[in-house]
Amino acid sequence: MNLTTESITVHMGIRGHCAEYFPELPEEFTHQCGVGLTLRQVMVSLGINPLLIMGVVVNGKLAKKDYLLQEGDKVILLSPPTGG
Amino acid sequence: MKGIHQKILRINLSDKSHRLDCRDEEFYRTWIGGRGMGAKIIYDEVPVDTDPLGPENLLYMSGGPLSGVYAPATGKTSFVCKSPATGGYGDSNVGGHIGPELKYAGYDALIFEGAAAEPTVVVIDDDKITFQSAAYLWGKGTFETEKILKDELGDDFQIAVIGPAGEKLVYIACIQHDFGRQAGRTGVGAVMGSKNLKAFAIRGSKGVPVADAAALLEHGKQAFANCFAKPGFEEWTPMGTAGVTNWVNEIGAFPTRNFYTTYFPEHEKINGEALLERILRTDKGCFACPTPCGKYSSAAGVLKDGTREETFQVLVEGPEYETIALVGGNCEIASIEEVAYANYVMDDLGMDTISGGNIVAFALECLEKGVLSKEQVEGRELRFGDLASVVYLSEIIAKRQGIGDILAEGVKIAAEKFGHNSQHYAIHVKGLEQSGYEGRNAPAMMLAFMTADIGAHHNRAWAITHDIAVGVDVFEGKPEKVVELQHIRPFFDQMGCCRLQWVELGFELENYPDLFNIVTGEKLTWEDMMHISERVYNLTRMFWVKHMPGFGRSWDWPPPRMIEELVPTGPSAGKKISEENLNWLLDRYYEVRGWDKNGIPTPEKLEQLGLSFCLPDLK
Ligand code: SF4
Repeated sequence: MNLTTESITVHMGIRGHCAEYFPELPEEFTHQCGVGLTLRQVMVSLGINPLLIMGVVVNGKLAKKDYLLQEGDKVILLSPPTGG
Repeated sequence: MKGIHQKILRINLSDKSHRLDCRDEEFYRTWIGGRGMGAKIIYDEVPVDTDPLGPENLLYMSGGPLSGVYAPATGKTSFVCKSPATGGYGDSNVGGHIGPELKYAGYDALIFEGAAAEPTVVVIDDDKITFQSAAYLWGKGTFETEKILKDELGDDFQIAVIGPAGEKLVYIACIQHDFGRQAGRTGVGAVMGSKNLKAFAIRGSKGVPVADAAALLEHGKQAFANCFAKPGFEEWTPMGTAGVTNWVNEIGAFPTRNFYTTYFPEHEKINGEALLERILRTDKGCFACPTPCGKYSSAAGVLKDGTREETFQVLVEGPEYETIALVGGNCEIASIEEVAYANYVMDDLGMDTISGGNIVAFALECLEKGVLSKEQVEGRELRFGDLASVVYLSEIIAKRQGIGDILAEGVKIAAEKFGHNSQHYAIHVKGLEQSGYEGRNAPAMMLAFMTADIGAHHNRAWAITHDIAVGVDVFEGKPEKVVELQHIRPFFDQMGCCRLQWVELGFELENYPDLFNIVTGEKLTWEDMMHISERVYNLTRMFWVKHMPGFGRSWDWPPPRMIEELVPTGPSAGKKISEENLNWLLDRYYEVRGWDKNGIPTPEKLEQLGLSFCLPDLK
């Protein structure tokens, strides 16, 4: 892990029914984390099981969970939808 | 009670007559609509020993009290019948616009009885019912049939059709509506075909009686605004259900190579991003839907069949996730264009892509393992990953040609006929092929498939997220979760609306009693609704008890592959479900439900739910 003493601020939101599994987290929040962390690492540090997240949108674009977070990123975590 | 007309239209195809079945409000209060009313009617009227493809079977269709009203996604409709695929209770839900149109024509439900002597189209134009010859449509695909009828009758008719599979009484035949929406499961299209009913068309000009129109206008407007304002709305819509493909692979639950494994290494070629970037043309939603999950695609490619090469270019609604899973991963088709083409072929033939993808993969594995020989498929080299193999098998199944005549009856019956341990490759519960999630590493999802009241279908209890949330090795609490979901999710089918706004956007469940009460004038709480849903779940269970000799616990058992084989690759590698754990899950599930150890509702449970009329059928 490439963690330094510097930190960045990202804006996060959780969407859909998975939010019920992280009741302590608000639907929208701002988070400070170390530089050089992936979204997956930050999810784990927040107590969010990355497997409960279907996909992520960063700054309006679909991204991978291994995306390297940057200062000011707007991140949305999506629950899996279901068919039928 | 409002929100209903108290009129069920019954059409007898044998003598080309029709009549109104007018029931008291108590009937609607007890069963609500959709599959609830349908289950009660077929329970009462379809005799034991009825051949599902005989004239005594009924084909019932209805939305519910919310059908066609000003509220989000009120366009869902259920077909109900005795299923030819399983011999037990069958229903299948379709979106589009035909449920609301039936309501606007002045009917809460539609029932087809008997069987026409000749291929027939029924036209319901408000109170006017006409029977037309369908001789000129017989043999045609679903797309052409619907287009011809739209051209002849007018665009304002909503039309449901069957394709060649329904005509040939293929057990996995679907009913298609709106050029790409299907009531796909349990063989409802074969029941329609058995009645010689090629299509029916509905046009209505009436309103829906609503208890408090002003409140509905206000509440409906607010409900749409809430959906549009939900955080996540913009992110959900672009890929539709295809967006889940990566995730199902990531958790190791993606059916691959006839459920041999649960991870498809090439899934990124058929996932939501591939759909979005390569073939998507536009969104397509059902009636009053704020979150259109339907995707309309245009796909081109080359079909290589032996030495022959043909180009294809199709427009198709989809592929949605289930088709991607069963036609894509399960048949190892690693191209979104090819999945879209196979989707088009199966839709046009009028067969369910879930069961279709399953049966094709089953046949390919039977060929690979020597259960079937090359001679039985006209000397062809059929294999996984080959579009021409999928297309060839789909066609011989839909037309019941050669070995396709046996495959047309589903994997359970085909395996019984083929022998040679082919039961091991038949992935079904109760005779219905499993939909697009693997349960070897997801016990709650496995239990949901085992106990779904139509067979192995995901939409009664999509419990897989719960498996991930509480842990795939945890069993405690999962039967309770499955029961809870089995009451919540099917209730949407009784109201006549879609559940995806709740599932995807988090549109709150509390909205539904509010909307329901404003429309109907009733005062139901969410708990009342869940009690009614439980009543229906027990009634559908009793349909199985009544119609299937010896019905019980063994019918809830999963496919042998889930118990006997370890997942060989991917994130779930090394996993399977043990018999001991399955028995624990079933014991606890039956206990939570108030059923006995054999999975039969107890007399006390039936009485508690107002189902005393079922007591004689406990035998
Ligand atoms: S979410 Fe999809 S299935 Fe539901 S109403 Fe909308 S388009 Fe139809």
